[in-house]
Amino acid sequence: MTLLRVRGLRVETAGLPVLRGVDFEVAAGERVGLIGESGSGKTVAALTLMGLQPEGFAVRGSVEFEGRQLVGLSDREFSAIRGARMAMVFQEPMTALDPLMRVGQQITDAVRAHRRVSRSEARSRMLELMSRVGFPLPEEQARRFPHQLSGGQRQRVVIAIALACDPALILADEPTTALDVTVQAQVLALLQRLVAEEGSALLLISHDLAVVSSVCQRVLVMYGGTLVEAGSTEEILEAPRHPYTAALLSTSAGIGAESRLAAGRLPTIPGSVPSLGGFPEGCVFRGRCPREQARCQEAPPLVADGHRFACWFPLQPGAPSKLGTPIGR
Amino acid sequence: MAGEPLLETIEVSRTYGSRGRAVHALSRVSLRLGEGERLGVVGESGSGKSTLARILVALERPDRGEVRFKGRSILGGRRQDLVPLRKGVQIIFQDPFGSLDPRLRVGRSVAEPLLALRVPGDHRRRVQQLLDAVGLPAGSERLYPHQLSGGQRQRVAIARALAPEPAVLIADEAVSALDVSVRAQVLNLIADLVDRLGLSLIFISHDMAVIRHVCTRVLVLYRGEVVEEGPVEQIFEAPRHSYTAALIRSVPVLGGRIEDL
Repeated sequence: MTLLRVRGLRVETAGLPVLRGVDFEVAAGERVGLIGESGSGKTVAALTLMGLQPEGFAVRGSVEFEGRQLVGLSDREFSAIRGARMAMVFQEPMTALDPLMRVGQQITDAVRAHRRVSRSEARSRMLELMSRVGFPLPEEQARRFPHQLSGGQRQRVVIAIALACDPALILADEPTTALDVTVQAQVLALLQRLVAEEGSALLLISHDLAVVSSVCQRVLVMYGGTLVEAGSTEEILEAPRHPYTAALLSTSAGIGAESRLAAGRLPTIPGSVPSLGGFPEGCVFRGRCPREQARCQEAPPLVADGHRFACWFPLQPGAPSKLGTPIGR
Repeated sequence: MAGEPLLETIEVSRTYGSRGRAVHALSRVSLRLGEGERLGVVGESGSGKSTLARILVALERPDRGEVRFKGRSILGGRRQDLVPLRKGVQIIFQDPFGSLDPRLRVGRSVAEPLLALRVPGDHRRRVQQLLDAVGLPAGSERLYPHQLSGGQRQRVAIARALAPEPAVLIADEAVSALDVSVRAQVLNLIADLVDRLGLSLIFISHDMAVIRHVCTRVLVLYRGEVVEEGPVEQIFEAPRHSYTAALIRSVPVLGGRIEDL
Protein backbone atom coordinates (compact mmCIF):
# COMPACT_ATOMS: atom_id res chain seq x y z
CA MET A 1 0.00 0.00 0.00
CA THR A 2 1.36 3.40 -0.93
CA LEU A 3 1.84 5.59 2.09
CA LEU A 4 3.53 8.57 0.51
CA ARG A 5 3.22 9.58 -3.13
CA VAL A 6 5.30 12.52 -4.34
CA ARG A 7 4.60 13.82 -7.84
CA GLY A 8 6.31 16.67 -9.69
CA LEU A 9 7.52 18.26 -6.47
CA ARG A 10 9.13 21.58 -7.26
CA VAL A 11 10.56 23.97 -4.72
CA GLU A 12 11.95 27.37 -5.63
CA THR A 13 13.50 30.19 -3.71
CA ALA A 14 14.25 33.60 -5.16
CA GLY A 15 13.47 32.16 -8.60
CA LEU A 16 16.12 29.44 -8.25
CA PRO A 17 15.04 25.81 -8.39
CA VAL A 18 15.96 23.74 -5.31
CA LEU A 19 13.86 20.73 -6.34
CA ARG A 20 13.14 20.34 -10.05
CA GLY A 21 10.17 18.03 -10.15
CA VAL A 22 10.69 15.00 -7.98
CA ASP A 23 8.62 11.79 -8.18
CA PHE A 24 8.77 8.91 -5.75
CA GLU A 25 6.69 6.72 -3.51
CA VAL A 26 7.11 5.09 -0.13
CA ALA A 27 5.02 2.04 0.73
CA ALA A 28 3.75 1.36 4.23
CA GLY A 29 6.46 -0.25 6.35
CA GLU A 30 9.10 0.27 3.67
CA ARG A 31 12.64 1.52 4.37
CA VAL A 32 13.73 3.95 1.66
CA GLY A 33 17.02 5.80 1.51
CA LEU A 34 17.40 9.24 -0.07
CA ILE A 35 21.02 9.78 -0.94
CA GLY A 36 22.62 13.04 -1.95
CA GLU A 37 25.54 15.31 -1.22
CA SER A 38 25.42 18.79 0.27
CA GLY A 39 23.55 20.97 -2.18
CA SER A 40 21.55 18.10 -3.69
CA GLY A 41 18.27 19.32 -2.20
CA LYS A 42 17.74 16.27 0.01
CA THR A 43 17.20 18.23 3.21
CA VAL A 44 14.82 20.67 1.53
CA ALA A 45 12.91 17.64 0.24
CA ALA A 46 12.59 16.28 3.79
CA LEU A 47 11.55 19.63 5.23
CA THR A 48 9.00 20.14 2.47
CA LEU A 49 7.43 16.74 3.13
CA MET A 50 7.01 17.84 6.76
CA GLY A 51 5.68 21.27 5.77
CA LEU A 52 8.73 22.84 7.41
CA GLN A 53 10.38 24.41 4.35
CA PRO A 54 11.97 27.76 5.15
CA GLU A 55 10.16 31.04 4.64
CA GLY A 56 10.22 32.16 1.01
CA PHE A 57 10.37 28.66 -0.46
CA ALA A 58 7.58 28.17 -2.99
CA VAL A 59 6.26 24.62 -3.23
CA ARG A 60 4.44 23.18 -6.23
CA GLY A 61 3.43 19.67 -7.19
CA SER A 62 1.79 17.00 -5.14
CA VAL A 63 2.60 15.23 -1.88
CA GLU A 64 -0.04 12.70 -0.95
CA PHE A 65 0.32 11.12 2.47
CA GLU A 66 -2.19 8.46 3.55
CA GLY A 67 -4.33 9.64 0.65
CA ARG A 68 -4.33 13.26 1.77
CA GLN A 69 -2.83 16.14 -0.21
CA LEU A 70 -0.26 17.96 1.90
CA VAL A 71 0.83 20.71 -0.49
CA GLY A 72 -1.10 23.84 0.37
CA LEU A 73 -2.12 22.79 3.89
CA SER A 74 -2.08 25.52 6.51
CA ASP A 75 0.49 25.37 9.30
CA ARG A 76 -2.24 24.36 11.67
CA GLU A 77 -3.46 21.50 9.51
CA PHE A 78 0.11 20.35 8.99
CA SER A 79 0.93 20.35 12.68
CA ALA A 80 -1.90 17.88 13.29
CA ILE A 81 -0.17 15.43 10.96
CA ARG A 82 3.37 16.16 12.06
CA GLY A 83 4.31 14.21 15.13
CA ALA A 84 1.13 12.16 14.96
CA ARG A 85 1.44 10.37 11.63
CA MET A 86 4.84 11.58 10.50
CA ALA A 87 7.85 12.19 12.71
CA MET A 88 11.31 13.50 12.07
CA VAL A 89 14.75 12.70 13.48
CA PHE A 90 17.39 15.33 12.74
CA GLN A 91 21.16 15.26 12.58
CA GLU A 92 21.84 17.19 15.75
CA PRO A 93 19.69 15.93 18.64
CA MET A 94 20.72 18.83 20.87
CA THR A 95 18.79 21.26 18.69
CA ALA A 96 15.71 19.03 18.64
CA LEU A 97 15.54 18.78 22.43
CA ASP A 98 14.67 21.47 24.95
CA PRO A 99 17.85 21.97 26.99
CA LEU A 100 15.90 23.12 30.06
CA MET A 101 13.48 20.23 30.28
CA ARG A 102 14.08 16.72 31.62
CA VAL A 103 14.09 14.22 28.80
CA GLY A 104 11.31 12.09 30.30
CA GLN A 105 9.04 15.12 30.37
CA GLN A 106 9.80 15.86 26.71
CA ILE A 107 8.77 12.34 25.74
CA THR A 108 5.64 12.56 27.91
CA ASP A 109 4.70 15.86 26.27
CA ALA A 110 5.07 14.23 22.85
CA VAL A 111 2.78 11.40 23.93
CA ARG A 112 0.13 13.84 25.19
CA ALA A 113 0.44 16.27 22.29
CA HIS A 114 -1.55 14.09 19.95
CA ARG A 115 -3.48 11.76 22.21
CA ARG A 116 -5.97 12.15 25.00
CA VAL A 117 -4.37 10.08 27.71
CA SER A 118 -4.12 10.53 31.45
CA ARG A 119 -0.93 11.69 33.10
CA SER A 120 -0.15 8.26 34.46
CA GLU A 121 -0.84 6.57 31.12
CA ALA A 122 1.45 9.07 29.40
CA ARG A 123 4.14 8.43 31.98
CA SER A 124 4.01 4.68 31.62
CA ARG A 125 4.11 5.06 27.82
CA MET A 126 7.16 7.32 28.27
CA LEU A 127 8.93 4.72 30.43
CA GLU A 128 8.11 2.01 27.93
CA LEU A 129 9.51 4.12 25.08
CA MET A 130 12.67 4.90 27.01
CA SER A 131 13.38 1.28 27.69
CA ARG A 132 12.60 0.35 24.10
CA VAL A 133 15.16 2.83 22.76
CA GLY A 134 17.74 1.32 25.07
CA PHE A 135 17.74 3.10 28.43
CA PRO A 136 18.19 0.31 30.98
CA LEU A 137 17.05 2.47 33.93
CA PRO A 138 14.22 4.53 32.47
CA GLU A 139 12.85 5.91 35.76
CA GLU A 140 16.22 7.31 36.68
CA GLN A 141 17.38 8.34 33.22
CA ALA A 142 14.08 10.12 32.50
CA ARG A 143 15.13 12.69 35.09
CA ARG A 144 18.24 13.69 33.16
CA PHE A 145 18.58 16.89 31.19
CA PRO A 146 19.83 16.64 27.58
CA HIS A 147 23.30 17.93 28.44
CA GLN A 148 23.70 15.09 30.94
CA LEU A 149 23.40 12.54 28.15
CA SER A 150 25.85 11.47 25.47
CA GLY A 151 25.20 12.27 21.80
CA GLY A 152 23.99 8.73 21.16
CA GLN A 153 21.65 8.81 24.17
CA ARG A 154 20.23 12.16 23.05
CA GLN A 155 19.50 10.70 19.62
CA ARG A 156 17.75 7.78 21.37
CA VAL A 157 15.54 10.30 23.19
CA VAL A 158 14.71 11.98 19.87
CA ILE A 159 13.80 8.58 18.44
CA ALA A 160 11.57 7.90 21.45
CA ILE A 161 9.81 11.22 20.83
CA ALA A 162 9.42 10.32 17.16
CA LEU A 163 7.84 6.99 18.12
CA ALA A 164 5.57 8.49 20.77
CA CYS A 165 2.48 8.45 18.58
CA ASP A 166 3.06 5.39 16.39
CA PRO A 167 3.86 7.36 13.25
CA ALA A 168 3.25 5.74 9.88
CA LEU A 169 6.40 7.44 8.52
CA ILE A 170 9.66 8.42 10.16
CA LEU A 171 11.91 10.84 8.29
CA ALA A 172 15.47 10.67 9.51
CA ASP A 173 17.82 13.32 8.09
CA GLU A 174 21.47 12.33 8.67
CA PRO A 175 20.47 10.92 12.08
CA THR A 176 23.91 9.46 12.80
CA THR A 177 26.28 11.82 11.02
CA ALA A 178 27.28 13.62 14.21
CA LEU A 179 27.87 10.38 16.12
CA ASP A 180 30.92 8.16 16.60
CA VAL A 181 31.10 5.04 14.43
CA THR A 182 30.26 2.53 17.15
CA VAL A 183 27.36 4.70 18.35
CA GLN A 184 26.23 5.20 14.76
CA ALA A 185 26.00 1.43 14.32
CA GLN A 186 23.95 1.13 17.53
CA VAL A 187 21.54 3.93 16.59
CA LEU A 188 21.05 2.58 13.05
CA ALA A 189 20.40 -0.90 14.41
CA LEU A 190 17.88 0.56 16.86
CA LEU A 191 16.11 2.57 14.18
CA GLN A 192 15.92 -0.42 11.90
CA ARG A 193 14.56 -2.68 14.64
CA LEU A 194 12.00 -0.16 15.87
CA VAL A 195 10.49 0.64 12.47
CA ALA A 196 10.15 -3.11 11.87
CA GLU A 197 8.42 -3.61 15.24
CA GLU A 198 6.13 -0.62 14.77
CA GLY A 199 5.44 -1.27 11.12
CA SER A 200 6.42 2.33 10.34
CA ALA A 201 7.99 3.33 7.06
CA LEU A 202 11.41 4.96 7.17
CA LEU A 203 12.79 7.61 4.84
CA LEU A 204 16.48 7.76 5.69
CA ILE A 205 18.29 10.76 4.24
CA SER A 206 22.07 10.67 4.09
CA HIS A 207 25.14 11.49 2.04
CA ASP A 208 26.59 8.11 2.99
CA LEU A 209 25.66 5.34 0.61
CA ALA A 210 27.17 2.74 2.94
CA VAL A 211 24.79 3.78 5.73
CA VAL A 212 21.74 3.93 3.47
CA SER A 213 22.45 0.64 1.73
CA SER A 214 22.92 -1.15 5.05
CA VAL A 215 19.51 -0.08 6.33
CA CYS A 216 17.20 0.46 3.36
CA GLN A 217 15.42 -1.77 0.88
CA ARG A 218 15.20 0.91 -1.79
CA VAL A 219 17.46 3.84 -2.68
CA LEU A 220 16.67 7.21 -4.31
CA VAL A 221 19.67 9.11 -5.64
CA MET A 222 19.37 12.88 -5.77
CA TYR A 223 21.65 15.39 -7.46
CA GLY A 224 21.00 19.04 -8.20
CA GLY A 225 17.40 18.86 -7.02
CA THR A 226 16.66 16.01 -9.42
CA LEU A 227 16.08 12.34 -8.77
CA VAL A 228 18.69 10.82 -11.07
CA GLU A 229 18.14 7.17 -10.16
CA ALA A 230 15.80 5.03 -8.07
CA GLY A 231 15.77 1.30 -7.51
CA SER A 232 16.15 -1.52 -5.05
CA THR A 233 19.33 -1.41 -2.98
CA GLU A 234 20.68 -4.38 -4.94
CA GLU A 235 19.95 -2.74 -8.29
CA ILE A 236 21.62 0.50 -7.25
CA LEU A 237 24.69 -1.21 -5.81
CA GLU A 238 25.16 -3.87 -8.43
CA ALA A 239 23.84 -2.32 -11.62
CA PRO A 240 23.82 1.47 -11.36
CA ARG A 241 22.70 3.09 -14.63
CA HIS A 242 23.33 6.76 -13.92
CA PRO A 243 26.98 7.90 -14.10
CA TYR A 244 26.54 9.96 -10.91
CA THR A 245 25.35 6.92 -8.95
CA ALA A 246 28.25 4.88 -10.29
CA ALA A 247 30.72 7.62 -9.33
CA LEU A 248 29.26 7.90 -5.84
CA LEU A 249 29.48 4.13 -5.46
CA SER A 250 33.10 3.88 -6.45
CA THR A 251 33.98 6.75 -4.10
CA SER A 252 32.17 5.07 -1.21
CA ALA A 253 33.66 1.68 -1.98
CA GLY A 254 37.13 3.18 -2.28
CA ILE A 255 37.34 4.53 1.24
CA GLY A 256 36.12 1.36 2.89
CA ALA A 257 37.82 -1.27 0.85
CA GLU A 258 41.55 -1.31 0.76
CA SER A 259 44.59 0.44 2.03
CA ARG A 260 45.96 3.17 -0.16
CA LEU A 261 49.13 1.20 -0.66
CA ALA A 262 47.03 -1.53 -2.24
CA ALA A 263 44.48 0.64 -4.01
CA GLY A 264 46.36 3.75 -5.08
CA ARG A 265 44.31 6.91 -5.22
CA LEU A 266 40.71 6.96 -4.15
CA PRO A 267 38.25 7.30 -6.99
CA THR A 268 36.66 10.76 -6.91
CA ILE A 269 34.06 12.67 -8.88
CA PRO A 270 35.68 15.42 -10.94
CA GLY A 271 34.79 18.97 -9.97
CA SER A 272 32.44 19.91 -7.17
CA VAL A 273 28.71 20.28 -6.57
CA PRO A 274 27.68 23.69 -7.96
CA SER A 275 25.93 26.12 -5.67
CA LEU A 276 22.23 26.86 -5.99
CA GLY A 277 21.59 28.46 -9.36
CA GLY A 278 24.93 27.20 -10.68
CA PHE A 279 23.69 23.89 -12.09
CA PRO A 280 23.77 23.60 -15.88
CA GLU A 281 20.68 23.59 -18.10
CA GLY A 282 19.65 20.18 -19.30
CA CYS A 283 21.12 17.27 -17.37
CA VAL A 284 22.23 18.62 -13.99
CA PHE A 285 25.30 16.35 -13.90
CA ARG A 286 26.65 17.89 -17.11
CA GLY A 287 30.21 19.18 -16.78
CA ARG A 288 31.18 16.49 -14.27
CA CYS A 289 30.03 13.48 -16.27
CA PRO A 290 32.44 11.26 -18.21
CA ARG A 291 29.65 10.17 -20.59
CA GLU A 292 28.39 13.61 -21.57
CA GLN A 293 27.37 14.24 -25.18
CA ALA A 294 25.57 17.01 -27.07
CA ARG A 295 22.14 15.59 -26.30
CA CYS A 296 22.72 16.12 -22.58
CA GLN A 297 21.89 19.83 -23.05
CA GLU A 298 18.33 18.60 -22.94
CA ALA A 299 17.16 17.31 -19.53
CA PRO A 300 16.71 13.52 -19.62
CA PRO A 301 13.43 12.15 -18.24
CA LEU A 302 13.32 9.59 -15.45
CA VAL A 303 12.64 6.41 -17.40
CA ALA A 304 12.02 2.89 -16.23
CA ASP A 305 14.14 0.05 -17.55
CA GLY A 306 14.32 -2.46 -14.74
CA HIS A 307 14.60 0.43 -12.34
CA ARG A 308 14.30 4.17 -12.93
CA PHE A 309 17.10 6.51 -14.03
CA ALA A 310 17.44 9.85 -15.80
CA CYS A 311 20.25 9.62 -18.34
CA TRP A 312 20.51 9.68 -22.14
CA PHE A 313 23.62 7.50 -22.11
CA PRO A 314 23.19 5.14 -19.16
CA LEU A 315 25.73 2.57 -18.11
CA GLN A 316 24.81 -0.89 -19.33
CA PRO A 317 23.92 -3.31 -16.58
CA GLY A 318 26.77 -5.71 -16.00
CA ALA A 319 29.31 -3.53 -17.80
CA PRO A 320 32.17 -2.47 -15.54
CA SER A 321 31.92 1.24 -14.94
CA LYS A 322 34.64 3.29 -16.58
CA LEU A 323 34.74 6.16 -14.18
CA GLY A 324 36.86 9.12 -14.95
CA THR A 325 37.75 7.83 -18.41
CA PRO A 326 35.80 8.95 -21.47
CA ILE A 327 33.56 6.26 -22.88
CA GLY A 328 33.99 5.46 -26.60
CA ARG A 329 31.13 6.57 -28.80
CA MET B 1 61.26 1.98 14.13
CA ALA B 2 64.74 3.03 13.22
CA GLY B 3 66.33 6.34 14.07
CA GLU B 4 65.35 9.25 16.25
CA PRO B 5 61.62 10.02 16.26
CA LEU B 6 60.66 13.40 14.83
CA LEU B 7 57.84 13.98 17.28
CA GLU B 8 57.18 11.92 20.38
CA THR B 9 55.27 11.82 23.62
CA ILE B 10 56.55 9.78 26.55
CA GLU B 11 53.99 8.57 29.11
CA VAL B 12 51.90 11.69 28.76
CA SER B 13 48.96 12.11 31.14
CA ARG B 14 46.32 14.81 31.34
CA THR B 15 43.54 15.07 33.89
CA TYR B 16 40.69 17.56 33.83
CA GLY B 17 38.68 18.70 36.79
CA SER B 18 39.58 18.47 40.43
CA ARG B 19 39.91 15.61 42.88
CA GLY B 20 36.80 13.55 43.28
CA ARG B 21 35.44 14.48 39.87
CA ALA B 22 38.65 14.13 37.90
CA VAL B 23 38.50 12.90 34.33
CA HIS B 24 41.60 11.19 33.01
CA ALA B 25 41.69 12.44 29.45
CA LEU B 26 45.03 10.76 28.79
CA SER B 27 46.87 8.13 30.82
CA ARG B 28 50.53 7.46 30.07
CA VAL B 29 50.27 7.77 26.32
CA SER B 30 53.49 7.24 24.40
CA LEU B 31 53.62 8.01 20.71
CA ARG B 32 56.57 8.04 18.32
CA LEU B 33 56.39 9.56 14.87
CA GLY B 34 59.35 8.71 12.64
CA GLU B 35 60.61 10.77 9.74
CA GLY B 36 58.31 10.35 6.75
CA GLU B 37 55.95 8.13 8.71
CA ARG B 38 52.16 8.21 8.47
CA LEU B 39 50.72 7.41 11.87
CA GLY B 40 47.00 7.05 12.55
CA VAL B 41 45.40 7.72 15.91
CA VAL B 42 41.93 6.22 16.09
CA GLY B 43 39.46 6.85 18.84
CA GLU B 44 35.96 8.13 19.50
CA SER B 45 34.55 10.92 21.64
CA GLY B 46 36.14 10.76 25.04
CA SER B 47 39.13 8.76 23.86
CA GLY B 48 41.46 11.67 24.50
CA LYS B 49 42.48 12.02 20.87
CA SER B 50 41.79 15.76 20.71
CA THR B 51 43.64 16.37 23.97
CA LEU B 52 46.57 14.46 22.49
CA ALA B 53 46.46 16.62 19.34
CA ARG B 54 46.45 19.81 21.41
CA ILE B 55 49.37 18.59 23.51
CA LEU B 56 51.35 17.71 20.38
CA VAL B 57 51.07 21.27 19.10
CA ALA B 58 51.59 22.80 22.57
CA LEU B 59 48.12 24.30 22.82
CA GLU B 60 47.88 22.42 26.08
CA ARG B 61 50.39 21.04 28.59
CA PRO B 62 50.30 17.52 29.99
CA ASP B 63 50.23 17.04 33.77
CA ARG B 64 52.93 14.41 33.50
CA GLY B 65 55.20 13.05 30.83
CA GLU B 66 57.41 14.48 28.13
CA VAL B 67 56.83 15.83 24.62
CA ARG B 68 59.79 16.15 22.25
CA PHE B 69 60.15 17.61 18.79
CA LYS B 70 63.39 16.69 17.01
CA GLY B 71 64.74 15.35 20.29
CA ARG B 72 64.15 18.55 22.31
CA SER B 73 61.52 19.00 24.97
CA ILE B 74 58.78 21.50 24.16
CA LEU B 75 57.66 21.69 27.78
CA GLY B 76 60.49 23.87 29.06
CA GLY B 77 58.19 26.85 29.36
CA ARG B 78 60.46 29.23 27.46
CA ARG B 79 58.90 30.87 24.45
CA GLN B 80 61.88 30.39 22.17
CA ASP B 81 61.76 26.64 22.81
CA LEU B 82 58.45 26.59 20.97
CA VAL B 83 59.61 28.36 17.81
CA PRO B 84 60.85 25.22 16.00
CA LEU B 85 57.57 23.49 16.91
CA ARG B 86 55.40 26.37 15.73
CA LYS B 87 57.11 26.25 12.35
CA GLY B 88 57.69 22.54 12.09
CA VAL B 89 54.36 21.12 13.23
CA GLN B 90 51.07 22.27 11.71
CA ILE B 91 47.55 21.12 12.43
CA ILE B 92 44.27 21.07 10.50
CA PHE B 93 41.02 20.70 12.38
CA GLN B 94 37.64 19.19 11.59
CA ASP B 95 35.77 22.38 10.99
CA PRO B 96 37.59 24.79 8.71
CA PHE B 97 34.77 27.27 9.21
CA GLY B 98 35.75 27.49 12.83
CA SER B 99 39.47 27.76 12.19
CA LEU B 100 39.37 30.35 9.40
CA ASP B 101 38.67 33.96 10.31
CA PRO B 102 35.40 34.81 8.50
CA ARG B 103 36.49 38.44 8.06
CA LEU B 104 39.74 37.62 6.30
CA ARG B 105 40.09 36.87 2.63
CA VAL B 106 41.51 33.45 1.83
CA GLY B 107 44.86 34.88 0.70
CA ARG B 108 45.30 36.74 3.96
CA SER B 109 44.42 33.66 6.04
CA VAL B 110 47.01 31.58 4.20
CA ALA B 111 49.65 34.31 4.55
CA GLU B 112 49.03 34.72 8.26
CA PRO B 113 51.44 32.05 9.53
CA LEU B 114 54.12 33.47 7.21
CA LEU B 115 53.70 36.86 8.86
CA ALA B 116 53.42 35.50 12.38
CA LEU B 117 56.52 33.33 12.04
CA ARG B 118 58.40 36.06 10.13
CA VAL B 119 59.11 33.79 7.20
CA PRO B 120 61.14 35.77 4.65
CA GLY B 121 60.35 35.91 0.93
CA ASP B 122 57.56 36.95 -1.40
CA HIS B 123 54.42 36.02 0.56
CA ARG B 124 52.04 36.83 -2.25
CA ARG B 125 53.77 34.41 -4.56
CA ARG B 126 54.00 31.75 -1.88
CA VAL B 127 50.25 32.04 -1.25
CA GLN B 128 49.56 31.58 -4.97
CA GLN B 129 51.74 28.47 -5.05
CA LEU B 130 50.04 27.04 -1.98
CA LEU B 131 46.51 27.64 -3.25
CA ASP B 132 47.52 26.07 -6.53
CA ALA B 133 49.07 23.08 -4.73
CA VAL B 134 45.81 22.36 -2.89
CA GLY B 135 43.81 22.59 -6.11
CA LEU B 136 42.01 25.89 -5.60
CA PRO B 137 41.33 27.93 -8.76
CA ALA B 138 43.14 31.18 -9.50
CA GLY B 139 41.42 34.11 -7.84
CA SER B 140 40.46 32.10 -4.74
CA GLU B 141 42.72 34.30 -2.63
CA ARG B 142 40.24 37.16 -2.98
CA LEU B 143 37.28 35.18 -1.62
CA TYR B 144 35.94 34.99 1.93
CA PRO B 145 35.42 31.63 3.71
CA HIS B 146 31.62 31.80 3.40
CA GLN B 147 31.95 31.92 -0.39
CA LEU B 148 33.59 28.50 -0.41
CA SER B 149 32.21 24.98 -0.03
CA GLY B 150 33.22 22.79 2.91
CA GLY B 151 35.78 20.93 0.82
CA GLN B 152 37.27 24.17 -0.51
CA ARG B 153 37.52 25.60 3.02
CA GLN B 154 39.39 22.49 4.12
CA ARG B 155 41.76 23.02 1.17
CA VAL B 156 42.40 26.56 2.41
CA ALA B 157 43.13 25.20 5.90
CA ILE B 158 45.59 22.74 4.36
CA ALA B 159 47.27 25.49 2.32
CA ARG B 160 47.66 27.57 5.46
CA ALA B 161 49.09 24.62 7.39
CA LEU B 162 51.66 24.05 4.64
CA ALA B 163 52.68 27.70 4.42
CA PRO B 164 55.58 27.58 6.92
CA GLU B 165 56.91 24.38 5.28
CA PRO B 166 56.30 22.12 8.27
CA ALA B 167 57.95 18.73 8.74
CA VAL B 168 54.89 17.31 10.49
CA LEU B 169 51.24 17.68 9.55
CA ILE B 170 48.59 16.74 12.10
CA ALA B 171 45.07 16.22 10.81
CA ASP B 172 42.46 16.13 13.59
CA GLU B 173 39.24 14.69 12.09
CA ALA B 174 40.08 16.74 9.02
CA VAL B 175 37.63 14.99 6.68
CA SER B 176 34.90 13.94 9.10
CA ALA B 177 32.56 16.82 8.32
CA LEU B 178 32.80 16.35 4.56
CA ASP B 179 30.53 14.43 2.19
CA VAL B 180 31.84 11.09 1.01
CA SER B 181 32.90 12.27 -2.46
CA VAL B 182 34.55 15.44 -1.17
CA ARG B 183 36.20 13.38 1.57
CA ALA B 184 37.86 11.22 -1.09
CA GLN B 185 39.19 14.33 -2.87
CA VAL B 186 40.63 15.81 0.32
CA LEU B 187 42.14 12.46 1.40
CA ASN B 188 43.84 12.10 -1.98
CA LEU B 189 45.14 15.64 -1.63
CA ILE B 190 46.55 15.04 1.85
CA ALA B 191 48.18 11.76 0.76
CA ASP B 192 49.67 13.39 -2.35
CA LEU B 193 51.05 16.37 -0.44
CA VAL B 194 52.54 14.14 2.24
CA ASP B 195 54.26 12.07 -0.46
CA ARG B 196 55.36 15.01 -2.56
CA LEU B 197 56.63 17.20 0.27
CA GLY B 198 58.08 14.34 2.29
CA LEU B 199 55.94 15.22 5.32
CA SER B 200 55.37 13.11 8.37
CA LEU B 201 51.70 12.74 9.18
CA ILE B 202 49.61 12.13 12.27
CA PHE B 203 46.06 11.46 11.14
CA ILE B 204 43.55 11.48 13.97
CA SER B 205 40.09 10.09 13.27
CA HIS B 206 37.24 8.03 14.63
CA ASP B 207 37.00 6.27 11.29
CA MET B 208 39.17 3.18 10.83
CA ALA B 209 38.44 3.06 7.10
CA VAL B 210 39.92 6.50 6.56
CA ILE B 211 42.94 5.69 8.76
CA ARG B 212 43.52 2.52 6.80
CA HIS B 213 43.63 4.46 3.60
CA VAL B 214 46.11 7.10 4.70
CA CYS B 215 48.34 5.55 7.37
CA THR B 216 50.85 2.76 7.71
CA ARG B 217 50.78 2.43 11.49
CA VAL B 218 47.91 3.02 13.90
CA LEU B 219 47.48 3.60 17.59
CA VAL B 220 44.07 2.87 19.10
CA LEU B 221 42.99 5.17 21.93
CA TYR B 222 40.20 4.18 24.29
CA ARG B 223 39.31 6.22 27.38
CA GLY B 224 42.67 7.94 27.34
CA GLU B 225 44.77 4.82 27.03
CA VAL B 226 46.54 3.19 24.13
CA VAL B 227 44.86 -0.21 23.88
CA GLU B 228 46.49 -1.38 20.68
CA GLU B 229 49.24 -0.28 18.32
CA GLY B 230 50.78 -1.73 15.18
CA PRO B 231 50.87 -1.81 11.39
CA VAL B 232 47.46 -0.72 10.08
CA GLU B 233 46.89 -3.79 7.89
CA GLN B 234 47.73 -6.15 10.73
CA ILE B 235 45.33 -4.41 13.08
CA PHE B 236 42.64 -4.35 10.41
CA GLU B 237 43.00 -8.06 9.68
CA ALA B 238 43.50 -9.30 13.21
CA PRO B 239 42.58 -6.79 15.92
CA ARG B 240 43.57 -8.03 19.35
CA HIS B 241 41.58 -5.68 21.56
CA SER B 242 37.80 -6.08 21.63
CA TYR B 243 37.36 -2.31 21.28
CA THR B 244 39.43 -2.23 18.10
CA ALA B 245 37.35 -5.10 16.74
CA ALA B 246 34.14 -3.16 17.53
CA LEU B 247 35.52 -0.07 15.79
CA ILE B 248 36.26 -2.03 12.64
CA ARG B 249 32.94 -3.85 12.72
CA SER B 250 31.05 -0.57 13.08
CA VAL B 251 32.30 0.98 9.85
CA PRO B 252 29.32 0.82 7.50
CA VAL B 253 30.07 -0.87 4.19
CA LEU B 254 28.14 -0.83 0.94
CA GLY B 255 25.35 -3.37 1.04
CA GLY B 256 26.43 -4.47 4.49
CA ARG B 257 24.24 -5.17 7.45
CA ILE B 258 23.90 -3.15 10.57
CA GLU B 259 24.92 -5.28 13.50
CA ASP B 260 23.52 -4.76 16.94
CA LEU B 261 26.65 -4.37 19.04
